[in-house]
Amino acid sequence: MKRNIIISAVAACIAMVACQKSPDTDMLDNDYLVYTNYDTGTDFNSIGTFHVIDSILIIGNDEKASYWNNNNSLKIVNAYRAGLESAGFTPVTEGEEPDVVLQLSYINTTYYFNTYGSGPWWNYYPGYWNWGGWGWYYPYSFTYSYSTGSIIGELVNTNAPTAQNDKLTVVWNSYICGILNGNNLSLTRTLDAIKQAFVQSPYLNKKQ
Amino acid sequence: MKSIRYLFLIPLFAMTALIPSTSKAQISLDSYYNIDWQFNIPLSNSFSNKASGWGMNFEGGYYVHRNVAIGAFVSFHTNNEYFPRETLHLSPTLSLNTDQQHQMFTLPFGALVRYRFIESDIQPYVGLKLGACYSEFNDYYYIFMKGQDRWGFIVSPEVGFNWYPWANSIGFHLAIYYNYATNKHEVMTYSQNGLNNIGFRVGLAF
Repeated sequence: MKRNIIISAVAACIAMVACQKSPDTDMLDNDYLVYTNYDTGTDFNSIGTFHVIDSILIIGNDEKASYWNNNNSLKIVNAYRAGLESAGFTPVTEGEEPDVVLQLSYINTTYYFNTYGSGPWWNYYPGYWNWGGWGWYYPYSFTYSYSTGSIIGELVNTNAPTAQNDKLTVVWNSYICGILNGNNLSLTRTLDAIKQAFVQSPYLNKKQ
Repeated sequence: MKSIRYLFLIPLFAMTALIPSTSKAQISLDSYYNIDWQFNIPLSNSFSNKASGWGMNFEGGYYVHRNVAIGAFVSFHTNNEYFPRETLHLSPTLSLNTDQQHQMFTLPFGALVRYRFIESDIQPYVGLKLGACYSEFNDYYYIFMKGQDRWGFIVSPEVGFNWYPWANSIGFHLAIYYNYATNKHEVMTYSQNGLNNIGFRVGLAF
């Protein structure tokens, strides 16, 4: 008898937990979502020149690297370039040895995010940016929620690797998602999200 | 201010003066049961401060003395609030720009003691509930959700009345309550130390 009462009480509690009123997620604006993060050990005021790589790496199921290179990708590249210029950095070509380089990647599928362990997961992508064998790393930790149709922007310090770690450091990054309309990219939303990435990163702005 | 706070008790007690002192209206004379819909208003809650009617209360008691009952209760409630787009500083360096839907769910249960002022068709009472409180804070943004569940202790004073308008039949219940739970939550940039709520319940009395 006592056992039945306890079982009934537990069942009732479980049923009540299931009675939660889910929030109306239709109220969410279905607009972009922008993460940004940076290295506190970097003096952004000391960075003079930058370069944005013209092609966007596509992270998909295929181990062979492929790149996104059309009018839309060029507009995205230009939006990042404009943001860095507005912050006070000077654009130069790759051959002019920029202080920092921005590498852009597009998550076409999350296979490489689900397969590997703790982040940055995309670092394990076979065709990922390698920087002439130096490799690179994040000097700060983070945890992101990730989804398909996301763009990762990573600003890499191209100066000599640190003694602590023989890799180049990512000094700033942005992670943008929510930029798809169904299966198609919303370019307007993407460009707005890139602007937002710089708005919420005031530490990038060089002091005059 | 204190006197204003208790003004609502005056009509309650006045009604009891107009009714017979004994009654056979309720089904069981030595016990009672309430099933209620409840309306809950969170107080100073940074995660979800919006009132809602998404909740219920179940309780029952046995009169160990003519006017004193002891029993048990369980209730649940959800308070949701939409947060417009903003930039959240998740750490000293990590920022997130998004809009959000917050969901606060509470499920307190435990023991109660109730003192009814009179045994009649209308039975005004004061009560006190003590027990455990399970709570969830869930933050929905874009297609993601970050959530946290916690346990705490709860204390809840209550005033109200059971009204049995018909002989040996069901009646009605109305109550006003306050509760405080010790649950602590930290979700995204929102930190809540203790849960304060007021509200009212309307339902059936057996």
